[in-house]
Amino acid sequence: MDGAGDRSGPRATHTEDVRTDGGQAEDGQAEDERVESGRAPGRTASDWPAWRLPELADAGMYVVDDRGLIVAVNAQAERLVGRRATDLLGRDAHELLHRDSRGGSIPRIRCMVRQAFLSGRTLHSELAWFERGDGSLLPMAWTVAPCELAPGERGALVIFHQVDPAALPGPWAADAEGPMSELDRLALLAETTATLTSTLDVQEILRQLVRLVVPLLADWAVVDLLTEEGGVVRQLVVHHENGELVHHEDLERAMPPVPEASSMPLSRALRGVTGALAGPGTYRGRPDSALAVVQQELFQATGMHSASIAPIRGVRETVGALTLGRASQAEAFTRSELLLVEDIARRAGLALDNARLYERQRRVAETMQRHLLPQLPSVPGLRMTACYRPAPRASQVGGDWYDAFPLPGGATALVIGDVVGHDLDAAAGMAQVCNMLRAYAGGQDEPPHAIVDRLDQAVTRMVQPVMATMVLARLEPGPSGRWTLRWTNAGHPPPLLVGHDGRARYLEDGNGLLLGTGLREPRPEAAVELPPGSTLLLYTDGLIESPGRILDEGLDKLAAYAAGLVGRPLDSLCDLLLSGVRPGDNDDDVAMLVLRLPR
Amino acid sequence: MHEASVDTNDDGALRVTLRGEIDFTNSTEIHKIITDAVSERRPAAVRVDLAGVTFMDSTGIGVLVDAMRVALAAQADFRVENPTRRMLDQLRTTGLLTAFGLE
Repeated sequence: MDGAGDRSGPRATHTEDVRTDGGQAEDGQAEDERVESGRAPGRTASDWPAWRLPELADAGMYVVDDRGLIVAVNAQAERLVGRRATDLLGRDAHELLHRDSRGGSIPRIRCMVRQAFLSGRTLHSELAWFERGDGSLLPMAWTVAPCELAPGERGALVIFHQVDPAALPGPWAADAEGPMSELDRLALLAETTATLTSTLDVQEILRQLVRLVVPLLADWAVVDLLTEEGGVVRQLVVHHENGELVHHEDLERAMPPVPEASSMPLSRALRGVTGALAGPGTYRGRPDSALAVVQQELFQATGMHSASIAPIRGVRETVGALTLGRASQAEAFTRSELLLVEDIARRAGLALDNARLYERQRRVAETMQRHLLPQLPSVPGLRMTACYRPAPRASQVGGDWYDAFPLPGGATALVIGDVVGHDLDAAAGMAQVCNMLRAYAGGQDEPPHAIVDRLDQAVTRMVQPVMATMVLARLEPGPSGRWTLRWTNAGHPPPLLVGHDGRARYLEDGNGLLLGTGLREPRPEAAVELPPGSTLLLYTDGLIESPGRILDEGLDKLAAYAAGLVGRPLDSLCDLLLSGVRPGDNDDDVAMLVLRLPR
Repeated sequence: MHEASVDTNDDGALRVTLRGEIDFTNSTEIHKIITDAVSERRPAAVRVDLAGVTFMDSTGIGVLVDAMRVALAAQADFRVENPTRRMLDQLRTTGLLTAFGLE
């Protein structure tokens, strides 16, 4: 029933207070520019007070908020990086500016600003690089001081000046490519957890996982996943080439089974035993299994001279294995790096486990729904079509259903309904309500309101009582040959009747309480003669409801759109209505039953 | 801030104030808050204030119906107050206006 939009969206947007204090009156021009340059969603640079950063002879300064977006910048910084304030404000400083000595991008976790955030300490580096507006590199020394932009709002002040790398003592030149510090590791692990648990999509988790570790720890990443059927799939083979992540689909493939007893690194990892270091030599001898042959080929094709292979373990079972390999990176993996890879794989495992569980639950619900939704009966003279669509995003399943079946007296029953809830319970509840209704309706030839009244009493006696809205209609030809529709509506959006001339009206009579309230009220019933050539649409609220608009707007839009479809073939109506009417921000499922009368 | 809070009016009625978004993510918790309050305080009447509700999905409607059941089972008068236009539409469609004392 009443639409559930995706509430995981921008929950905070309407509660954000726009900051207007702090001397902006003197700074109207800059203020306007900031509004334009606020490219990130949510709070923009213009929401912060307009700080006046001091102008020293050589020091560039900027301030970032907790998302790393630039919220203030001084003129010297503009000059040093060769970009105007309008091109800097609201932008992600790390993404826009921070580079390694060769101009390549740097994983965010290696960014000193990020580390200053995580550690809460002021950090300083004698050599780092910013990309100027013209693409050239600015060698600079910088200091990052975490600060509070407002009470409870973290940010950081960055002060930098140009340096000459040649004038620095030797060790500094290696700064950006040095081995990982303990702080780096902690930052990487924190970032791994935060990033990977933010989504429930397996592909997205893998994409993020690779982005986190390549090229930081390796230039090759290979992910093998155990399938639910017990097989193994080489899901992902990615290589870092010329600053980009390149997929090697030729190496992504179904894999041979995991040998029970093999002590080879990948076999052990896929059995969830432990991680191991490996190299081309590991697989060089006589292969002990088909899996080992594939591994030989992998080392050959990738040129990896050193690899860390770690199990990806979920809460209950092993999910797969992560292989990080180095080909162009010269250093071999160390024991302590293997431990880090194991730790990362463990965190990825938890995220993947969650995502799989979620997908499985959704699939069960959808399968159930698909099996339950009926074949439409054929009624001489009438044409019918129906459809069910699950929620567009993977967040919800629902209890929507449609049904049509012959009644004992020769009439035809039409049903549309929606069991409250967005989970497997709702789908299971729907299964029971749908079939109880069929049983009651098929028993005796009763008017719709009497059948629904009995159904209402029955749902409150269910082991898991449910609430539901529904329309039950009875359709039969009258003596004049005209079709009569007699219906009762239990708290459901009204059916829509569109004449062959395109005039549309909602059948708003016959409205009673939704099912399952435990209250007894007389159920009304209404009847209408359906004009020749008219189209009757029964639907659930997922078609019209949106968190962003009132019900009438949705109903008006549906009526107007449906009126334009009178001449269209019946089979195409469901798809046309879904694409033309269903609100973009609606994440509810939809069921529809459409009927067309003969001319 | 919590989506639900309860206090007692001067006339002894239990006042349940709902805020923000009431949906399947918090409906179970809100249901419990109301049920506990009714069974502990045994009020003569229950009033649910919807003025601060910005969004309610079908499970939110379920929360209101459950609250009504709990109130009626405890022989308390039940009424919903200050629905927004949107909420009013939803309650009209579901046939709950009379049951909730809104007409």
